[in-house]
Amino acid sequence: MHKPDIETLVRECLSQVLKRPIQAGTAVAREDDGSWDSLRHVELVFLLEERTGIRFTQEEITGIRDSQDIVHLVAGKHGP
Amino acid sequence: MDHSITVSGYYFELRPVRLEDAAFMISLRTDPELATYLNPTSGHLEDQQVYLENYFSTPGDYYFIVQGKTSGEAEGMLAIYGIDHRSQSAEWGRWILRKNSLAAVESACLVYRAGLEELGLKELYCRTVARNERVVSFHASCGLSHARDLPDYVRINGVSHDSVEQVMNASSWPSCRQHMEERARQIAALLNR
Repeated sequence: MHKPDIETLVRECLSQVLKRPIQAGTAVAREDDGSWDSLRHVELVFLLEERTGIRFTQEEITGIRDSQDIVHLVAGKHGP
Repeated sequence: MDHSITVSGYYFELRPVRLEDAAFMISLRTDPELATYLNPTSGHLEDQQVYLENYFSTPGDYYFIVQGKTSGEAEGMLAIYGIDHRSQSAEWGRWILRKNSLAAVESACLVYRAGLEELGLKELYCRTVARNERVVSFHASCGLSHARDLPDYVRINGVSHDSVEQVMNASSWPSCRQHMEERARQIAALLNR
């Protein structure tokens, strides 16, 4: 997967879980988004795993602070 | 009160608080990041032990430790209290989990099982500081309905905060339980990888 594809995927997953549209190029941070709660966070992780076939560790899951962290995580696991 | 209720889930369980939990409880309740929206707690072990001794003799107050089911490792705590026998309702709160814990969903699920099934209550409600948006959102995501806004309901460190009351009742619990348990099962699978 190339980075633009990953960014699109992450945006789609976030939009589905947070139940609102997310514009391309918009970074979403947990700290700033009150709707990104603990239940939605795990729902997001499971959706990402389902869509990418990637598995995240507990440390990776709890370390996610924003949409860019997810993009980097997925990119790192998919390789160049 | 000195109760004996234990409720087990997929990965976590609730068990009664014991006197020897005092140090763990202090460690969470005095963590500035975790305790932002909690009433201040003394950092002295003796004070917490006195608090627990009083708690053990307080009827209608059920304090739990959230712990790993097989590891027995304490993950956090929560409580059911303020039982109104006429309306068969109670509040739950004092909910605090270790940083980076994945016990939120299952511990919430377990407290509803404790309150609505083990204690046979018709309603469990929680009151959350309105600014604590992620927790308010969490309860809504779990299926709780908004009951009412509580202006200036709590004072924490001398500052008044509005709160939000959200309710889980016995009639909506079965469908909410299904949703929450599915997520708890997935989290347990992840933690068991």
